[in-house]
Amino acid sequence: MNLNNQNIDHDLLMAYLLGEATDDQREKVDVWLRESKDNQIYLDELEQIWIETGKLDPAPILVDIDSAWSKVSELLNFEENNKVVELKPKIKKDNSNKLFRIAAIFLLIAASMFIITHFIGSPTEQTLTSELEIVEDTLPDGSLIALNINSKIIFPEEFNDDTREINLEGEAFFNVSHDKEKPFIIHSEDANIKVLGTSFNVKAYQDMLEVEVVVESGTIMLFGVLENGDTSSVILNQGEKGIFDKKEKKARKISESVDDEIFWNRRKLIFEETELLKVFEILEKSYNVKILVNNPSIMNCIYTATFIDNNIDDILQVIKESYKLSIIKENNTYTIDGEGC
Amino acid sequence: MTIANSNIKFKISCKEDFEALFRQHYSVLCSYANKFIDDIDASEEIVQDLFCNLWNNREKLEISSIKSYLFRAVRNSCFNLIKHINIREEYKTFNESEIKLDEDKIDDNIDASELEVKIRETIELMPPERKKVFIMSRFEGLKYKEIAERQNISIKTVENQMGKAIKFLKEQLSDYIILAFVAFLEFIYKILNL
Repeated sequence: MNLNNQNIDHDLLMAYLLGEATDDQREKVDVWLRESKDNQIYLDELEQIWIETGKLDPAPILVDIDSAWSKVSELLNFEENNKVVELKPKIKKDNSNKLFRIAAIFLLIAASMFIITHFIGSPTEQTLTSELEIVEDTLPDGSLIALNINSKIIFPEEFNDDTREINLEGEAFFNVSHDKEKPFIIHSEDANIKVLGTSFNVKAYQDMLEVEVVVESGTIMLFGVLENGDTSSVILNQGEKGIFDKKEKKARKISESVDDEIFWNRRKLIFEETELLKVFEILEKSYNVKILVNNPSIMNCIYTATFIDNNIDDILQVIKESYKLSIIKENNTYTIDGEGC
Repeated sequence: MTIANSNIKFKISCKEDFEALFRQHYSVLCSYANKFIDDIDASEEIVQDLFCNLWNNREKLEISSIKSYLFRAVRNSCFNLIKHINIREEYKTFNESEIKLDEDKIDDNIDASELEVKIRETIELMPPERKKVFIMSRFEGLKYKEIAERQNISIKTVENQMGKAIKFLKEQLSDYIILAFVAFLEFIYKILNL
């Protein structure tokens, strides 16, 4: 009964089992179930596992054993495993060996880097590629990524202890989950982007002279290491755009605020006899805005339309004309009024 | 280095054995404490204090069954905490008889089945966010939407994490589940007189 099930996502199966599936998702699973009796058996096995896990008593809770052990270890004065060894540099007045030593150190570092990247590489590297369609996925830490066409990211199966690092070629929109202790770092050629928890867009195509970053929410640091070892960096806040010059390896901010520059990410919105209540919910989520409705009966209005490559203002304008509504915009909040349905 | 649970008098002599003991039981002991006091931070403190005391008194203690000792010690600390809080607040939410009733439950956890132990281990191995999402769904009974809101992630991420969780559980438990499933089938067939 060990089936190799690559033709359906476990996300769908779980949502189905727990009654959390949308009609669309449920249909996909039903179709899959009808394909073969083995599929039904597989689903039953998953359900069996779900049932068994529920029997656990006491119910498990989320604890961090490593940090608990560190705490106990410290309280009991156990020796730490990692002792910091201080290297005291020899202060020699003889300069003739200096160049030789510097060269030797660089060589050692270069050799180590070579060894580390080529021999002790991560065997569990994963690649996400997009060609003619936008590809969306979730990274090991729960961060969301949407890859624009002809783009690629490389990331490990599990992020290591200190940082979350990935490599990007092309264009992607990130929604990075918050983790103060583990900064998220995106490498793209010589440009680097460091974030804690934010959403932003990175455009880094090979044939472009610059890497462009636009921040939707939160704060990021765009930086690069210059020839002389100095770091060129710029901090970008919500609504700001920065570029990294690949030739000069310098980062700079180029405009204070950008509006709706990042809408390739939400290319298509389809509403089919959808209540405005639901429509507004979807618009809030997709465009990261707040929509307030003064007359609750507006929410009952049924709406049918398809929007492709539109920004939020245009969409609301169309909806406004359909139902004779009035819309007031203040920063990212839209207040809607009118007769309902 | 696993600690054997036998009837031989148990003595913790070295730090490595102590660490192994800690890592093996920390999670389930915290879960057990949480059952009584419903406070994860306080539960962790109780268990950590317990282990500190265990280490500090290791010369004096002679324990026949380490698991029973640990569970009983956690339970007692919980009751002491509850009493302490009650006295401070000047009203008793747990009265003496309620506490005594729980004494019957003490042995329920000691002989957990192999499957249960394996399930706990598997959940423990999940990365933090996945573990949190799974626990919130399975043991706190929260819907995807609620989990997404509380964890500040999208519903799609919740779906994804749950999918990965069940896939991981299936991989880890496949041997055990087959046995359970076969037993289940046999039971059904028996009922249907097949």
